[in-house]
Amino acid sequence: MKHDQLARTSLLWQLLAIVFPVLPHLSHLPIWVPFLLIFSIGWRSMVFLGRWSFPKWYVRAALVLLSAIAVVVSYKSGGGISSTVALLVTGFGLKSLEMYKKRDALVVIFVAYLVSATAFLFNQSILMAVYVFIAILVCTTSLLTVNLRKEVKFSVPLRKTALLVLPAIPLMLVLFILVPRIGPLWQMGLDTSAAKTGLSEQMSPGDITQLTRSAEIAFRVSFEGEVPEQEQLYWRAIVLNDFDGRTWYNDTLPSDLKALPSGLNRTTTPIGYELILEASDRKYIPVLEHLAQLPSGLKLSSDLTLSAPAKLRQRSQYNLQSYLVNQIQTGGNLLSHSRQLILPEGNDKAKILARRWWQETGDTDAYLNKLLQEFNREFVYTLKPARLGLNPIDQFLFQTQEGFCGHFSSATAFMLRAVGIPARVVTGYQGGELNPFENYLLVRQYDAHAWVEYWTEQSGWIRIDPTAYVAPERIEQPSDEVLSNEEQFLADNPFLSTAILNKGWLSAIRLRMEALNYGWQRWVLGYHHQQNSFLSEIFGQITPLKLALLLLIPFAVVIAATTIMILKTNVPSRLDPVDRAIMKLSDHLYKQGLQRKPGETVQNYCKRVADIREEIATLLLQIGGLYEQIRYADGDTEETQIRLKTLVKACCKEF
Amino acid sequence: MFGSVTQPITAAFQRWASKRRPTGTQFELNQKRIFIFPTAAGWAYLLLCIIVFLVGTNYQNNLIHAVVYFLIAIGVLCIHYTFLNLSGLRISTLKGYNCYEGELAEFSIKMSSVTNRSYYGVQLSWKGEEPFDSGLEGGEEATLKLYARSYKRGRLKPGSLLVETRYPFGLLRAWSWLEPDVSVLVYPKPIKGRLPEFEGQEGESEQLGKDRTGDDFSGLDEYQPGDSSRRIAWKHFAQGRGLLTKRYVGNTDKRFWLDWDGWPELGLEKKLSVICYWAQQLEHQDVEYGLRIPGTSIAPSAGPAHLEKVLISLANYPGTGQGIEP
Repeated sequence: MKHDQLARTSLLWQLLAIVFPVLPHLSHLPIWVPFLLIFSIGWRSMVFLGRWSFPKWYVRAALVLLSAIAVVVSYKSGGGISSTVALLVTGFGLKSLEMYKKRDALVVIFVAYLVSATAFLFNQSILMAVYVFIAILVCTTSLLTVNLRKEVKFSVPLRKTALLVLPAIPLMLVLFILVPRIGPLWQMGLDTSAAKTGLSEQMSPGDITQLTRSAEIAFRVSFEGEVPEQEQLYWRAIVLNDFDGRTWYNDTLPSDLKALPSGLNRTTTPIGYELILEASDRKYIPVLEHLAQLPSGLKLSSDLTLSAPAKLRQRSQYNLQSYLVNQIQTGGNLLSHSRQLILPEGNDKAKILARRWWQETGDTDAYLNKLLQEFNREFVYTLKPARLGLNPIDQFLFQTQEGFCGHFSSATAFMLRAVGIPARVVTGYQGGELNPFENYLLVRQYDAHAWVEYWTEQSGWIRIDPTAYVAPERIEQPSDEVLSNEEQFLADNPFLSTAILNKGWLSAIRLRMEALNYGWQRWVLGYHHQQNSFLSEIFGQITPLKLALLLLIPFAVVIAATTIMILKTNVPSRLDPVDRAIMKLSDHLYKQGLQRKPGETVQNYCKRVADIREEIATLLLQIGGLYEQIRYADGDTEETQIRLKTLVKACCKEF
Repeated sequence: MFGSVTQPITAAFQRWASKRRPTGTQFELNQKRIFIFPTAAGWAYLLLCIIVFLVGTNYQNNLIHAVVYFLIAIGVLCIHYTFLNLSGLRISTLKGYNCYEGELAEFSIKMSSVTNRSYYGVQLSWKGEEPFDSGLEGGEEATLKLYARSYKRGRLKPGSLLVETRYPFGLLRAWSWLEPDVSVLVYPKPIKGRLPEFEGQEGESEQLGKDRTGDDFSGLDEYQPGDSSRRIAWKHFAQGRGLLTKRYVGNTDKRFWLDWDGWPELGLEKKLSVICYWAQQLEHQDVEYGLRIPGTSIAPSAGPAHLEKVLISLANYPGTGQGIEP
């Protein structure tokens, strides 16, 4: 076998080192990539079996060209990291076709490591972590086989590698915990196709239907103290100030604030909480109404919504503080809130109704009460409202009289504006599911909600949730309990059917899984947020010297332990006692240059030495004879063995 | 381009280095003698770690960080494993076997360990020669054959012995240079030539092809490797009495002298080569022959020991081939 040629066992492992890392990527790679891989691995296997020969250079060149074109065409619109992975996968798929020498194999394995690691850009679940670990083990095994010269059994390299790699796990944990994370060195474009659902920047009733049906996680919250009551959990995300007769939106974005306005109601003590926000591809950060402290690096608008400087394309984590209040004290007069009074043409019936009611009541509270009572009496909460035509508010109030939070908040804000009370729509999330095992709140996309704020000169902005008056249970209980008899609920997620969501042991399992996932999110995926406080909690002030020591000591310990383990492995000697005795003799006589020559029989050896060393000649001849007897005359008993050993010992003692 | 410039420096370094290396016949590899450095694959692995680290950092992905740390941990352990895969090895040079010029000189080398560990993928090679792959299962010892090319007649010292390993992952190479105190004699290359005139003998060439059935059988000897198979006492062997060789009383009439003056037309090396050829041939034909070269005279005889004596004299004959190292 030539020196740099691969052994057959090695080749099999190389093929596995291609298959394992690529599997997790199949979901996002273009459909032709797996086929190309199957094709090239198939061809290579046929070569391995000796049926086919390696492809000619022009076949390879054509394949490379075609794949390159295919990647470009598949990712015309720019696929970010996914296209890079596609390129890597295609590349090493093709490389496998000409994998013959050691160097080719090394290229394939190193790319395989990279492809394994990039699987985490698309999925960071616990299962994926376990899988990638296995994939890396396979890659390392094939790295080992590249350096094996001899053919071995298929499973031998895996066993060896597993043993060699085992001590790397504690070292990895030490590094993971201690090595300080640095921020991104440059901006990376993430896959645009991986954009997540989030709240819309505008609202025309009907939009939120889709959100309500999605069980995707919006964010998780863990509170420092008691978890507030469900009906207090209003997560403010976006404030919509403008209305065009059908859609609520923001014509111009409200101005930014450098600090929180001083007029906030601070009678209650603030609640601290940690928010882990899933990627939304939006900027907003939902906060519990209302924010008590402005975190650094984030943007606060004059309408008290919080947003990130850039679109959130990754899970992110924030430590926030809020007062549990439902009003914002602001100064100003009616004129300074004229933007929240503008109503366009149309919806005339509703405007007439509003004026009539205002004349009947003549007071903001009484007017609002009348409207809400009307909702409570006549209106139905449904996820499948009828489609609304040209004058949606009129149609909703007088004809359909059914809808969800979007309809009610839109109509309420309209009715308030119609009588000269500044009003706006707030969208965000309401409530959440409390996980009793980890004491945190899980807010899903179906918790999305819309409510209304109106302004009075005495109290400032006050929150009013008209949906609560339509179907109070929509607010008082978690949404999954309220909504589980709605057939449309979760209709697009077959795995989370309502039956599973119901109480019972399955629910307990689900909550446990969710709790485990939360710990994973917080302590592994979001570790860089915890690292500083976690490390200083255990080790006090972290100095570079301390960090170096903390890193070095575990390394020293693990390496020392490995050494001791390796040195202590006393493989039982394969030589039997007789051969060992003869070896001892030969080793002893080595000093006089009288070692046993290769191929020399024991008897001849003894005779030869006996001729030279007369003082031990008799002993040697006895040894030779005894050896012959043990080996060839059925004399291999314990007694003869002991005799031989004694003779050798005596012989060695002589000089 | 720089070959001609760097060569004297390299050579000087080699001389200096080899003087500092351990000499002897038995070596134990320990941290004083083992060097370790990343291979090209090792540097590539480092580059891979850096790339994965950059991906993990830029995407703020802690699991990718975990992958990097795992890879780094494997790399660090690998340094250790590779070193341990040489440390504790005991290499002893047992013997070298003389050979003819142009052949590969065989050296038998014993590999054992002071520990009871297993060693995998250990390569041994003489400087500039093909490596030999070896390994040790726990507690065993192995005898292996290493070959060195012979270029010139005379004493061949194979030079430095390289023991190296890249086990387990090929990321690092640990090696040790040893200067074993072992040498072999390189006999002249046998070249067919004319058979010289013998002193009043009937030793014509046609005699040489014949079997020596007419000679007197005088007894049995224990078989020595190299004895002609035609002289083995097969009958005795079949009776289970071991391998014995029939001994004949030599025919005093058939004693040849390989004489220095027999080939006056040939140059020194060529002459030695032709003598060598005829010594081989005569030995093969079971003809007794003697050697007469300046400074040495060996009485006619036959047998492997005699041939070796003759060949050694030829190899040691002073001249250009003497004591050249490859």
